[in-house]
Amino acid sequence: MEAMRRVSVILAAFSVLSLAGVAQPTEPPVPQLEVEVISVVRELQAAMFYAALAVYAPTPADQRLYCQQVVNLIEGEGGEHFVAEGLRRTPGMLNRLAAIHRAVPPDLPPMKRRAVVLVLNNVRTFLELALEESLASLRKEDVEAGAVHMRKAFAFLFAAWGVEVETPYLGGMWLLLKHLGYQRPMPPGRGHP
Amino acid sequence: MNPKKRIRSLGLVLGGLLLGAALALGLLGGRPSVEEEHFLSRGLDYVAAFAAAAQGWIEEEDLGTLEDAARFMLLGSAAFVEVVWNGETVVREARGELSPPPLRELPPETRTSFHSEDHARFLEVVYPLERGYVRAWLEVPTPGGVPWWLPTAVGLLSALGLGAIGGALYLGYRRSSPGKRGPLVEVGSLTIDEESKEVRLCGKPVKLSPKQYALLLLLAREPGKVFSDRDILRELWPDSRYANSKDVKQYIYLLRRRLGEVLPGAEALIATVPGFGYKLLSPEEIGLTER
Repeated sequence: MEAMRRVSVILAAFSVLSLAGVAQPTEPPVPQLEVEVISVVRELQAAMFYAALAVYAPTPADQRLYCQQVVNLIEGEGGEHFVAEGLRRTPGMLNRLAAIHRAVPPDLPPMKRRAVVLVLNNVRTFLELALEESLASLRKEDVEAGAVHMRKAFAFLFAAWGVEVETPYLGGMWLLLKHLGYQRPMPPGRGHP
Repeated sequence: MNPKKRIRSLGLVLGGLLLGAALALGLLGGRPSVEEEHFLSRGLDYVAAFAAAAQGWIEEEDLGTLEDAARFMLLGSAAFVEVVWNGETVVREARGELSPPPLRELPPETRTSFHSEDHARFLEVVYPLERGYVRAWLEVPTPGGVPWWLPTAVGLLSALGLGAIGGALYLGYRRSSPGKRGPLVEVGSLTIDEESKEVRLCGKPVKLSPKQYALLLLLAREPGKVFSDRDILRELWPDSRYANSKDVKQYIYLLRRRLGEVLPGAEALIATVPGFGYKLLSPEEIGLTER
């Protein structure tokens, strides 16, 4: 049960895990900005799942499979390191963040807008660092060496997700949801609270 | 060293090495290799990570994501993934025709075991959840398995090793038992072949008369033992009423002289123990060596 406990600690941060998907259409139609934000949240959760399994992958082939999914989710189709294997189509989290940045409502109060931009910059930087570590892991032949990089990738993805106790100026997606007034996405079976 | 001793030693060493090699191979093949142990350790953590996520998805009623994740595992080492919750199979994904039989009872704790099926080797991990379990079969990479030739090699090496040791021991039994009747009596580098009646001293042939031969053989069967005149008379002239100590002395003298002719100094092989009789020493004891 030791392994279970260890893994549970790692995965506790994202108790609601879901693989990449698109937010379900609701009535009235969800604004495009919210769709993109929710998609980033879901893809980030999926990326953390893949990163965790890459850390514990039993063989280099398994590890590469999971690392590649993290890279795909961050870069998206058309990305330099994207390899179409086992994943649904996605523009990638970095492209989604750029789209969110462009779509930030102009009527947001200046301080709020500044906070949102700062959070977006943080998330982008953490995702770029996670991408760097995932690519470094892909270059390793040994699973233990690859796992070291994937642990770092997981840490950066977790930072991009953010936690409730963070300070406003080093935020992740959780804070972005709060700033934009969106609810954290729940799995399809539960729906939004 | 005497060539026979050399062959004997060589046989023992060779046999020991062959048996050692067989033992080492057997030990290596009989337990999981380093790669297999590593695979087992990582495979257990891998399934544990999936199980932790699976429990979360089940509690959130997000079975679609759980199925996707299980199917994704089949792209790697996993050949079979099963998730059972509240007695119901919520996910059962397998590669190809693989269809492991269902578990008969819920596992009380984590369980791992190795199986072979369709020329592949699998690590089965059964991981308990709060109200069910996750079960996965992970295909073990080929280098970690037991190679097909290993049992044959272990058997062959063991047979050869035992044969070499047995042969060497038999040779030793035949050729180095000076006190026992047998085809060859050996006292150091003095050898007496009872079948061919040939005597060799340090490799040189020694021509002896039948009585000289019989006297030497008597002494050589129990080297170091003191034989009295009466002992010798009883053995060499058992039916003669006229033989006496003078005959013994004469044949001792003749035998010593013959030995000395073959190898100077060899007269001392037969030592006189004053007041008791005669005994045979080994050539090595009196400093005779092969020349």
